[in-house]
Amino acid sequence: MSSPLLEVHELAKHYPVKLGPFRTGMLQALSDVSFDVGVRQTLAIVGESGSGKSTLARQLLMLEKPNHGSLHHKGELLRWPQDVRSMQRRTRMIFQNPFESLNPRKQIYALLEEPLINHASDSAADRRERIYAMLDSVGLNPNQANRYPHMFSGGQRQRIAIARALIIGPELLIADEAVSALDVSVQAQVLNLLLDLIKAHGLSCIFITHDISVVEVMADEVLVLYMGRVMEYGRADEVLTKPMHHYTKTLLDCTPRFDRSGMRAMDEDQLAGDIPSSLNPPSGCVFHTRCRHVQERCRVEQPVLVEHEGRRLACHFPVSQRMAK
Amino acid sequence: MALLEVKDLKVSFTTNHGRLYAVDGIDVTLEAGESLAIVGESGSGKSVTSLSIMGLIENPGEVQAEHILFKGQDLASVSARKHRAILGNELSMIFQDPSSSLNPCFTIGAQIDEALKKHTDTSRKARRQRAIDLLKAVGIPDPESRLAAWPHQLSGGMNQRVMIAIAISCNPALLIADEPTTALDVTIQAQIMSLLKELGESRDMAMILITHDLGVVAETVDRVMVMYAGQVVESACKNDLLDHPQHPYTRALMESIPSGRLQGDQRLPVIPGRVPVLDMLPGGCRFHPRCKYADDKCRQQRPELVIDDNRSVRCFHPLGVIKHV
Repeated sequence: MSSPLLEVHELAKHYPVKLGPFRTGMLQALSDVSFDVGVRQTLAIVGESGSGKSTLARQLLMLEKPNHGSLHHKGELLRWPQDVRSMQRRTRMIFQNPFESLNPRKQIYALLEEPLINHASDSAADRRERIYAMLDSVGLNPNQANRYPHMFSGGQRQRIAIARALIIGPELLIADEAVSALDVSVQAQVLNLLLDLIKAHGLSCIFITHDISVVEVMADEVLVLYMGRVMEYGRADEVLTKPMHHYTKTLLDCTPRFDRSGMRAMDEDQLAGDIPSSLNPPSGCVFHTRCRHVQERCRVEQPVLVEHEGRRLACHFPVSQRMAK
Repeated sequence: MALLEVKDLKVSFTTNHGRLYAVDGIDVTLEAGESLAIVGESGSGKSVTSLSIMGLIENPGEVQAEHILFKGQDLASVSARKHRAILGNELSMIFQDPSSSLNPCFTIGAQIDEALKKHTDTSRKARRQRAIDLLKAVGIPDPESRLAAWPHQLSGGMNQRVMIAIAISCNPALLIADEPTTALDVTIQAQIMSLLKELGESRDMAMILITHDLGVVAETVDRVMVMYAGQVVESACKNDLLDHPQHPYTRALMESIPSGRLQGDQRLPVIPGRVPVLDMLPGGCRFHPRCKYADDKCRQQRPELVIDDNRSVRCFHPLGVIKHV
């Protein structure tokens, strides 16, 4: 079997944080994150705010040097900083807020031309052609190329952001909460567009989101992140229908759905409290402070990510095992 | 007598394109202890409706209504002084983004105290105790020491709890919550929604929940009002509405929520186009350009809100009992 498009191996990133005039703390943003993304595969990364999702995205774009771990592209080790530029050409990103990620002073044409100037060596005429073709394929009228971002609605701006990401023909698209700022009806339009484009361009995709219903639609695989650690990683259909980690299960239960109205008692499956501070992570399993099924072992011993029934899981007492007891 | 009775509410803004009606003739009736959700896309007028009930519409906006009766007094015609005595006291509101609606320059305790000081005649000591009780009621751990905390020291979920504590500090009869959980994680969202529900039940507090998320609606409220382009298009009991939506817009909104995996080339059902801009409202039914059932009648005549048996719908061709997916 050929090697996957991107392999991430034991990635770790921590940031020094000033706690006082003489004290510096270490914020563990990511520890020991490993996964891979196959060609034409979509991986969803799920987690709450503060779980390290966006730090991970920064790492994949090689914007920062990791403290530990490595990235491989099609089997080749990527070195920092030599391979940054080539990686950034192959990996493009769409951000959450289309109102902030587009420069308000630039016309759409200039916004789309910028990555072409930076990363491709086309003539001006070729660029023009590519820009018009791209605008057309994201469902915008090429006549609108000389408008400014404020003249577009949220959904249209996100289309522009997508066009901007895809115009230089990347292999991997990272979408960081790309649809969570949009209304449901517009969200469905943008998701459909992304599905079409991913298929048409044969893209691999990393979809960072907190919305489980979006994961169901988009992803082949899902990685659940909590406080910078992988909790569960496996095929999306399996993980979402039969979660084994208590955190994954809680995330699924918390997602409001109208087709289950009144079916569940609200406090049954809720998480108590907030995500703990990464400056001072809990001992043992990082999730034990909020887990409803915590046992003594969880407080002391940190679970290792192990292969478990075809997926990777970091829990001493996985969901199904307990149910069997 | 109903707690809140709004009749023929119109909110207009004078712009370069003339006088535009963001809210165009809305009736709201709410009994004590009842909860109502107002659902719609951005631009449908749902926030403007709530702001106008609160009397927070400023120049160039103008509120016209036959009456806005709250506990028998017409809010539209009371003096400014009387109005201030009602706001934050019997009628209060929480906003979408807790971190921008709390004042960063005052401690949590001072901000809770502000409302209590204004609306009650109790001693400072009693107010402090009341503030502690409130923080306890909204589930903030260690409330005594939290009084001295600043908004930046608390997480988004905690800040939203503080906002709720301020809003319920004077035992309001009606609480308006404008997208209270949009800025929060799903796990925190579940906590906040069940807190609001529980507070509503234990204090017999009526609630208007403004949201675009039908999933949230399913788990919290008694009644739902769907708005489109400044008008109510459908209003019914929660279960009736979710089980048997009659307006094509309601049904389309429900269908566009992603649910389950798509097979092969399958795509999410979408509502084509977007909410019309107010200066270019289509003739006839305002939804007709996006409606798949539209015919000549819809294009030419304006449908009225037809009230029938505790539910109402503004459509010439209401959907029969159709099972949604």
